[in-house]
Amino acid sequence: MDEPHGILSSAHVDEDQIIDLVSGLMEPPAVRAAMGHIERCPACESLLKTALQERELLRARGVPPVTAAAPAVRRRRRGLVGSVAVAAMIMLIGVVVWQKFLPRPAGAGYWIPVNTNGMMLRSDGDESFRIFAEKTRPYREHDAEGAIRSLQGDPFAGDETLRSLSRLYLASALVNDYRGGEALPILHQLKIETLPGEWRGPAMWVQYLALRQAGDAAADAVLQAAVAEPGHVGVLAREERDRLSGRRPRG
Amino acid sequence: MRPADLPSPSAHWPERVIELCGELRNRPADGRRDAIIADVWLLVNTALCRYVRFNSRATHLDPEDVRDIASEKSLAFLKQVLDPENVFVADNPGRVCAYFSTLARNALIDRGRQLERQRNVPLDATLVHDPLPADPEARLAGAQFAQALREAVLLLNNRTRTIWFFRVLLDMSSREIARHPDIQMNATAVDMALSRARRAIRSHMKKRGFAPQEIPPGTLAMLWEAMYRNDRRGEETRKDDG
Repeated sequence: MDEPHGILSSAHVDEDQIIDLVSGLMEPPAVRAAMGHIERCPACESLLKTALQERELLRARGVPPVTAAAPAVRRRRRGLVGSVAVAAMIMLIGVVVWQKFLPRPAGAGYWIPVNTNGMMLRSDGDESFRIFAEKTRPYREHDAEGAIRSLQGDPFAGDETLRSLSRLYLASALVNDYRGGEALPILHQLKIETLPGEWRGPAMWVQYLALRQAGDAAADAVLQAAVAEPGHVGVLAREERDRLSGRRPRG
Repeated sequence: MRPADLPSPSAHWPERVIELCGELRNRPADGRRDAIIADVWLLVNTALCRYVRFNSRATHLDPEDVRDIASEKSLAFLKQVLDPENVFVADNPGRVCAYFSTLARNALIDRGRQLERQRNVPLDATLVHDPLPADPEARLAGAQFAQALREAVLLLNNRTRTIWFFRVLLDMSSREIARHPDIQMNATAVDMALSRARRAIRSHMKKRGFAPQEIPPGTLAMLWEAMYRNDRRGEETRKDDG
């Protein structure tokens, strides 16, 4: 049995122990000892409240899309390789400066996280979950063309949740294939406001990208709404707003 | 006294971070990997909030700013972990804590916050130990009120109880509650459920002879524990059924 964290009911609980507690990493005897104290100590109860608030807000906002950072630039290359790199860098700076004054095609590179684990809880059965996991595999691997092939044809007509999500991923894949115009009718049918909470923000962002690719002026209104979104979509939207207005992104 | 950068000697979370990161690096892109990413995100973020709060304690940073900084740095940390060329060595709990503390400090400096960087301040010094009401009668009345409230809240169904807890005790907005993975409703439905919950609780409390009053200290902890134990019982029952 685990030591009860060395917590006697009279000892204060520190923030590390609170993190363990709210993250479910404490063993039951330690939980009992900690709670025995917290219920009688307003200061420790306040720490618990803060940690719970932070954790539940994070869960409500969902995990932002995470992709690995670009491979680090290797150092200490000399000679011709170095010269080529310097020339390429100068050209790149030129292109970046030049592109700053050109409209940029929006939309590629945004992939909604596919949390198939969380979905299992909502799916009607293991079979539909298994099919969903299989159908979304190209999307998870960021293969836009493969995802479009896999998700076209309404494969989840019998399951409203999976159907909505597969349509959303299809729309996102189309945007990643620079076919925003084709994504728009799918998003329109989807009724973004009816989607489960954690997908509404990403769906809004996909809609914005699709509208922008299609040259639709409605993109501005969607961007304005997305700016107020919490989490990663809000960050993306604010960066995009700053980019469009010619300012450097904040942060 | 323990320096603030070091974890509590018996804390489990730094080891869990090491374990999850190791698993993540060796995992192919599948559903389990997404789940691990979600776990790392939640745990690292919670830990970073602790360090951001600690390093900004002299400046009274807004809680939303604390969460923003922690989210930004958690994302950077996750990207590092997922980068195959990155050599992040998180091989012991002390190093994890020191790394997170540095991340938090640097983030605060980046934001140009006025922070008082006191090194090696014991954690216990950051706690303000407000005593409970000294009057034994007031304490007893508070405990009785809290007990009756616990009974009333446990009569609600799981989802409604969680909505009530999120709003009343964690001050979350209807919109945030609606988006929460345990809820998944629209904000209007959340408001309606909340209204029903309040009516039911008021009625129960009235029957027990309690008029509406401020929620006494200790109630949040007591209710969370009751809900946590309820969840644990549910999990154990599900395991038994399985």
